[in-house]
Amino acid sequence: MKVRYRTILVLALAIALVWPALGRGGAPQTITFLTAPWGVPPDQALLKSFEARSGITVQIISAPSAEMYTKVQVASAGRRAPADVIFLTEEAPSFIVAPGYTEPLDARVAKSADLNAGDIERMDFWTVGGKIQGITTYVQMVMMDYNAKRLRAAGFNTPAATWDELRRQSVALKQKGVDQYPVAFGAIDWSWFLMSLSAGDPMFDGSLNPVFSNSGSPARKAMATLLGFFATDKVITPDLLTKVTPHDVFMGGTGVYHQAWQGSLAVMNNAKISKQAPDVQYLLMPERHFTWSLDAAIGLSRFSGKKDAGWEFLKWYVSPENQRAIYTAVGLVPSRKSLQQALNAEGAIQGFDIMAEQAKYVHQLPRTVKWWGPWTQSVTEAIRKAAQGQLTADAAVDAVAKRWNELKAQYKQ
Amino acid sequence: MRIRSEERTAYLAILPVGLLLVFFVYYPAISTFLLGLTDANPRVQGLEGSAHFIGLRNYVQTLGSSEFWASVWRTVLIVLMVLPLELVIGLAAAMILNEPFRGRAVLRTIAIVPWMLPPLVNGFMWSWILNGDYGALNGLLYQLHLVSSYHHWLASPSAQLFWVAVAQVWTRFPFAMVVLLAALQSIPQDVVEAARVDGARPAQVFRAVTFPMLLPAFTVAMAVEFIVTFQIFDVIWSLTAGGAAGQVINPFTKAVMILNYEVVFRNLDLGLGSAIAYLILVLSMGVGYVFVRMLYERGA
Repeated sequence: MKVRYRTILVLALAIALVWPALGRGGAPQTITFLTAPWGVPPDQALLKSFEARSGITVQIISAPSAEMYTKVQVASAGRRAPADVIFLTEEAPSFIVAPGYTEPLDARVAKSADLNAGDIERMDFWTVGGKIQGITTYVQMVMMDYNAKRLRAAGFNTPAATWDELRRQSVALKQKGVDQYPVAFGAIDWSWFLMSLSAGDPMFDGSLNPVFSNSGSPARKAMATLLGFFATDKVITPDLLTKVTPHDVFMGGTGVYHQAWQGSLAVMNNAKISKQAPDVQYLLMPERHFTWSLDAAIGLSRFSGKKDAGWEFLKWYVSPENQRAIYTAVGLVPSRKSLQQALNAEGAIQGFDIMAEQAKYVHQLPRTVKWWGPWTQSVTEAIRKAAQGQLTADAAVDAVAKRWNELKAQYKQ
Repeated sequence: MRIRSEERTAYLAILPVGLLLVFFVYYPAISTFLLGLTDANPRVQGLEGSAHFIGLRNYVQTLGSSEFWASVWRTVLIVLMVLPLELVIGLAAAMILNEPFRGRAVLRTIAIVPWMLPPLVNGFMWSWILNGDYGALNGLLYQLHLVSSYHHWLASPSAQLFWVAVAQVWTRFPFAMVVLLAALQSIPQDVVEAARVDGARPAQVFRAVTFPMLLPAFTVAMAVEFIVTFQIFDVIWSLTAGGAAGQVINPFTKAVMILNYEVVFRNLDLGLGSAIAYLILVLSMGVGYVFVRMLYERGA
C-alpha cells in the first residue's frame, strides 16, 4: 500500500508540473485593453464572439483620458505595460506615442492582409518617426453644428459664413429671446484652435514656430472674438467657464451654434438624449473653412508581453463589424472608407455632404510634439483668465506663444 | 537577561510595522527627495535617456515661481474659509447631538454621511447642485421666490473658491463633530451642574467651563483639518477642475496639490514635482506647528 501511495504522489506531482506546459498551446489568453470610456466595444455579443473564436479574453480598463495618459506614462517610464492594447485619443500622440510607449506596427501591418490597411483613413497621422504607431479606428474632424429651426426663428435662413456674422446672429438670437446663450463653445483651447484655423491661421510654420502670435494674425482676432462671446456679448453660458466640453450644455437645450465633431448629428438629433433633436445640422466652418481632426487609433504597448494576442484584438477592433457597432452606439465615424460609403448608401450618416466638403479643409495641428499636452493646458488657462478679464486677448496670445517657445526649448535640449 | 528577552520580544513585535514604514514611507520619502534634486522627466529624456543631478535648482525655481505662490495663496484662502466654518458647524452639531432627544442615534448616523461619502462624490454632487442651468440650488431658490432667474454660481473665480470651501466644509464637518462630541461626552457633568448652581447662564457655562475643557479636542480637530484642507484635491478636481473628463485644470482653483498633480502627472516633470511635494510638506508642517502651538499656549 505504501508503494501505491508513493506512486500516486509522484504521478500527481508530474501531472501538476507538466499540465500547464501541455495546456499552454490551446489555453485561452487574457489581455488588457486600456481605453477612454467611449472606446469600450459597445456590442458585447460581438466581443464575446471574438473571444470565443480567438481564445483571447479581453479585460477592459476604462478610464477618463487624462487618467489614462497618467497610467500609461507612469507604467511605461518604469518599462512596464500599462495594458497590452491602448486606445489612442486626443492628446495621446503627445503623451503616449511621441515618447515611444507604443509598439511600431509596420511589420504586422505588412503581414496582415486581413487588416486591409488600404481601406483605413488617416494612417499617415499615426505614422510617427517613420513608423506606424496605431491603426485609426474612427475619424473625427472638429466641426460645428447648429439648430436650423431656432436660427430660422430669429429670421436667419442660412448659418453664418464668417465669425463676425456669427457674432451678429448670436446677439440677435439673444435679443429676440430665442436663446439667452446661443453659442455653445467652451473656454478651452479647442475653441480658439477651431476659430483660428477656420479664419485661415495655420498657427505654426514648418519649423514649429508659432505664427499665431504675428501682429494682426487671424488667431489674435479669433481670441478677441471668443473672449467677446463670454465677456462682452454674453452669448456663452457662464457654466462653460468651468466645464470641459460644451456638448451636454447644447444637448440640454442651450445654444444654437455648437462646437461639435464629425458624427455629432447622430447624438444631437437623438431625441432620447438631446433637446435639440431633430433640427441640428452641420455647417461648413466659417471664413476659410479650415479645421483639424482628432482621429483616434488603437495601438500596442511597447512593453506588452502579449503582442500577438493584442494584435489579433486590434484587428478585430478596427473590423467593419465593430466599427459599425461603434457608429451605431455613439456616432463615431468609422475609419474604413468602405464602411463610410456603405453607411452613407444606407442613409445612416447624417450630413454626409457637408462632412465630405469639410474634409477638404483639414489642417493638422502638431499634436505629436512631446510638449503639446503641457502647452494646451497653458492655452486653456490663458483663455479662462482672459475670459474673466485678467488678461487682454493680445496678452493671452502672447502668453501662450511665450509658453510654446519655453517648452520647445526645454524639450529640444 | 530577562529584560533583554523582553526587549527582544518588543523589537520583534514592532519589526513588521517598522519594516512596513521603512518600505512604504521612509524609502519613498527619501527617494522622492533625491528625485527632487534631479531634472527627471521621462518625456523629455525619453526611454533611453537619464536624469541629471541639478542640486537645489528645482527648489529655487519653485520658490521663484509666481504660479507656485499663487497656488499657495489660493490654498491658504480655502483653509481660512474652511477651518472656522467647519469647526463652528462641527461644534454646533456636536452640542446639539450631545443633548438627549428622541431619534438622536439616527441623527448622529445621518450626520456623518457626508464624511462617509468619497470626496469625489461630494464634489460631483455639489457641481450638480450649483449648475446654472438645471442645478438644485437654483430650483430651490426659484421655488421659494428668492431669485427671479437662475444664477451661475461658479461663474467668477472668487465664487469658485468659495464653493470649493463650502463643499469641503460639507465633506469634513462630521469629523470635527465626532471629535468634539466625544470630548463633550467626557466632560464631568458635576462641574457643569456646579456652574449652573452658582448661577451661570448657558453662554457663561459654555465660555467658562465647556469650551476650555474642549480645547484639547478642538486643537486636534483643527490640526488634522488644517492638514487635510491644505492638501485638498478631490473636491476641487470634481467641482471645478478636471471634471469627469479630467482634461482641463482650472487656473482659479489650482491649489498646491492640484499644481503638484499637474507638474508630476500632466507634465511628467518628476524632479520638479518632487521638490514641490517637499515644499508643500514643509509649508504644511510649519503652519500646522504654529497653529497647534498657539492654541496650546492659550491654555489647552
